[in-house]
Amino acid sequence: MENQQSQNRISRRQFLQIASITAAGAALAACAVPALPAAPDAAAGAASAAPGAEVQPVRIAVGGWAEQGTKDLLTNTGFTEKTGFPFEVMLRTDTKETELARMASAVQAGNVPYDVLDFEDELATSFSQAGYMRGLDDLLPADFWAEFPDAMVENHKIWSTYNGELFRVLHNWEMPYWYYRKDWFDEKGVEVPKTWDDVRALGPVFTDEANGVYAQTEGMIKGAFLNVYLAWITLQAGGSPFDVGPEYETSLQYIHDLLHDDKVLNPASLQKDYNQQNADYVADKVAFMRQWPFFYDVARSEDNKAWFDESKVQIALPPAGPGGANMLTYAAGWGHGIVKTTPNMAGAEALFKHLIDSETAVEAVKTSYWFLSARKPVLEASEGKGVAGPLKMYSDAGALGVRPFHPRFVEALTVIEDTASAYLTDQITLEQSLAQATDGLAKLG
Amino acid sequence: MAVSTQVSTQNNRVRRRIASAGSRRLLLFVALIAPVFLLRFATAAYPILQTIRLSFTNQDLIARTNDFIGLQNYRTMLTDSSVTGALSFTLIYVIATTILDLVVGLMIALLLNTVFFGRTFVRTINLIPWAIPTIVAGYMFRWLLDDQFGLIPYLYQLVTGDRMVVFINAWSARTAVILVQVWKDAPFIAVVLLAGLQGVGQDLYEAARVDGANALQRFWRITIPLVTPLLVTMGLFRIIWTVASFDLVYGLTFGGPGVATTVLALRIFQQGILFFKFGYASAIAVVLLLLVGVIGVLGLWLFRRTDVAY
Repeated sequence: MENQQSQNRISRRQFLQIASITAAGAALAACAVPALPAAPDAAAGAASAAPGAEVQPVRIAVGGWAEQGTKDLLTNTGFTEKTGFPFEVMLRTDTKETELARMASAVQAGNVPYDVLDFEDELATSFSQAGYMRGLDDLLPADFWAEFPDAMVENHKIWSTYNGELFRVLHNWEMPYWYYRKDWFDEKGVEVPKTWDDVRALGPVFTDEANGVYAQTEGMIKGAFLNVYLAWITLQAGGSPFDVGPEYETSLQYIHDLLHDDKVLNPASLQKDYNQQNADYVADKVAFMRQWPFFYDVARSEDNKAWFDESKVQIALPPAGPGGANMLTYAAGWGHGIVKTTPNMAGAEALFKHLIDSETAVEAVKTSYWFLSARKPVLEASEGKGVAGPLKMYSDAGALGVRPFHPRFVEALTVIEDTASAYLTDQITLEQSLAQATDGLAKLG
Repeated sequence: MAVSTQVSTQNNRVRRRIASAGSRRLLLFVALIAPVFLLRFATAAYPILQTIRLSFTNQDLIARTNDFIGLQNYRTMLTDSSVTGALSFTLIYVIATTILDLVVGLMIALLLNTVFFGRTFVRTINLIPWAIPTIVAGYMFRWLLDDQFGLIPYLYQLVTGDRMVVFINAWSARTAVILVQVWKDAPFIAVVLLAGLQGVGQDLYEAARVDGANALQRFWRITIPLVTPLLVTMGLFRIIWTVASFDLVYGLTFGGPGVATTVLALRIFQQGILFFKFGYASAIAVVLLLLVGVIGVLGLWLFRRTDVAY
């Protein structure tokens, strides 16, 4: 008996051997790269799930500002009742930098944080080229594009298509508007500027440097803010910053003049983001500015109730540059796409089809202006309320150009911002700035 | 003969026992070391080796390339003004913040080492800047330095009558980034140095006083030599932490205006995370690693030379 016990007992040596082998095995297993999950059969959906099997909710990631609107939309339009898929609205990160990092690491690890994503232009180029998004052409109904104006169709071709494959459908279509203080213009007896030269003349009218009041302010800090402004101005000059052509040169010179010679644009704009820009406006420090539609709501928010008056937040067409009256501004957008490696492809496809459906799109704009676009039934349903009015005004005026594009957009905008910012703060000359931009963009291929 | 054989057998047994005990000890050593070794290998050595390997490739998730290209990334770096510019500001940033951190930290520590009413409370609130996350401090100071609403420009205007616009030229932007970093980190340095100061015996000061040494002499001849090992250690840590950080720059200036406040770590983030150029980003990271390595060796050498005893 004793002998048998000693045979069953593990010796210290054996124990140490087993322990070290187990530890090594566990560590190696943890280090091993998990295999990418195979995309499930797209045809398999909630309906074909085994009886009694739990249907996985389809996860959609949206910005914090769109969370409630998206929940309301999917509830009001009966997504779950129609498709059998429950849904989960998740928050994505607010900036492209953090979302790029999150998605890149998740995909490398064979994981995905969500099934459907609501994403902007900047991410669109990176995600599609990295192969993270699923092609969507086969999910579109016949005559889908008939409801879209030419400008939106063109935008989809440039910003939402890669290698001939569509990977994003816009639900949000917005452009920078030109906001101005009508009360100040009336008081000074000056007209709303129609051209760049008119703008130059407004420096002496409105700017009072001692009190920090300027004719114009912008959000121009690096990290995509400056690029948006440069693209907007260069479009007005008739070109694209990424071409580094004469139009871009004219634009840079013009902005430099506004900052340093004409005393129109607050030089501190170079270090402001949109929140700081808006704060300047509602603090009565600015006569006019370019800003995205969200300022329309910011100005009317509870925080600014005491300050707000319709005459303080009027919207007009932007002043025309050398490019003429048809290139006053551009539209950008947010849209839905499907992550290629989602484990719930059937649910993702069902949700995507539901979201792009014409009836859903109409219901969406009634839920939130986040879903406003120039899609014809959507624009009609919005009845010109809120920012739909200015959207219609800009669309009717034919003021829309195409947003300047570069195939490696995120890299290209960094090159442009670095070189332009250095010139606008007098660290280098205009010639040096252009040469560095040309060289930097050439390296991108 | 028989006795000789018996002795030989016993010797062999003893040798086997010793050998067996030795191998057991070796096995025990390996077993105890293995988990830590594997952990360090997986979390430190492997990433470093992988980064070095990647630096010799053109791995790019967008271009979908992943070929061995030798030293091409390093050659590109030499002519890439965005990297050489970032390297120069990184050196300025690291040296300036480290020196100022130590000087200001020592001044705060000396102050906190004196006896005054409410000392415990002051020592506690001293740590508040250090406790604020760096990225939060970056955004906070963007507003504190805002030309329209910033407290600092407002106070400046009260005193001088002029408006202060910080971030529109390279010099003032760089100064702002360095000073904010010092504001944030000097309190922590102060607490560490305070612990060192409290270990300095009062009898040394009393003896020096009896010998006629004035306050400045006591500071230079007693305080400084005795806290020098701590200063070197903290300086070393500060350098290594600062070289690898970019969160303050990210929140405060995003490297602007131009590339005036761009640091190498921000370039690695841009190349790797924003542009998905893992090969090139790894090459910059290797340069940063070498920089930290050289500084580390230098620091250790200095540390060994600063052993002071009284």
